[in-house]
Amino acid sequence: MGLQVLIVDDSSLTRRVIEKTLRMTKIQIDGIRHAANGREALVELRSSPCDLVFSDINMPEMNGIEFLDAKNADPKLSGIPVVVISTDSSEGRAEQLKARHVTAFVGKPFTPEMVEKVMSNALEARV
Amino acid sequence: MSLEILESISSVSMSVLEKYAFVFADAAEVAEAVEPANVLLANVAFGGAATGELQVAMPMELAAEIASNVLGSDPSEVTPLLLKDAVGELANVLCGNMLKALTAPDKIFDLQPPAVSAASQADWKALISSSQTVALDCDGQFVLLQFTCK
Repeated sequence: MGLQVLIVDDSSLTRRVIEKTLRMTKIQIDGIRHAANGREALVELRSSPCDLVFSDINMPEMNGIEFLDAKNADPKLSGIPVVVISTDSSEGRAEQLKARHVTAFVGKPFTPEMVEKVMSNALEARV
Repeated sequence: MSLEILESISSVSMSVLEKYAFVFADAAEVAEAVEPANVLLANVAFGGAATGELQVAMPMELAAEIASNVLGSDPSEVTPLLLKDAVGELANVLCGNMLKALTAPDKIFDLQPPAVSAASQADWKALISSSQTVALDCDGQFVLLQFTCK
């Protein structure tokens, strides 16, 4: 059975690029859903199961940090691994994300190889 | 802003354009940047450890090429919405990478969502006349960038 993935980014173009990248990997994916901000992502996660989330940080309405805090505070969602893909890849930000149990952190611009690697690592860590 | 910082902005921008959009750019003289017919202007404001803004202006034609390259799709599939999204996301990636290159690694910034609009002649002239503007030549098409950080 393949994975259910949620992509959270306010740029529809970036969501499409990440989806395309994920479809190119050897990892079997059954469903990819999209959300434009943290608030929409929480609605998606609460509506149906998800194995892995790819999320941006800087988004309107609810940013990635607020999303992580809300997700981690919900016992039903806290175990879902999150990979952050963001233009904001400073060491300070990495520390902030580590404290929120983010599985991996990929800076933009990213390559398909970077995404496939962190996805494989995230899934291995989950097993 | 020092020449060294302007050169860093130029260097970061060339690297991001190549890695993100597969567009090769060379540093150019701002005065050489002839105004194209249709220009898109993206603004990304940021706060946090410092406040500031990045402005990026580019011809519509180049924006379409970037959107098509990023999506890996035919230029005919690029809608006006995706075109604006591509320029906004490029400005976002440029701004994040400039902050990383120009500030201390422990600093955290909050980037606002990009605002993209059609640039007026006055917008282009204002950028051209500023000593803080950096110009890049992408195979005959010019990109203007102005980064401010307080």
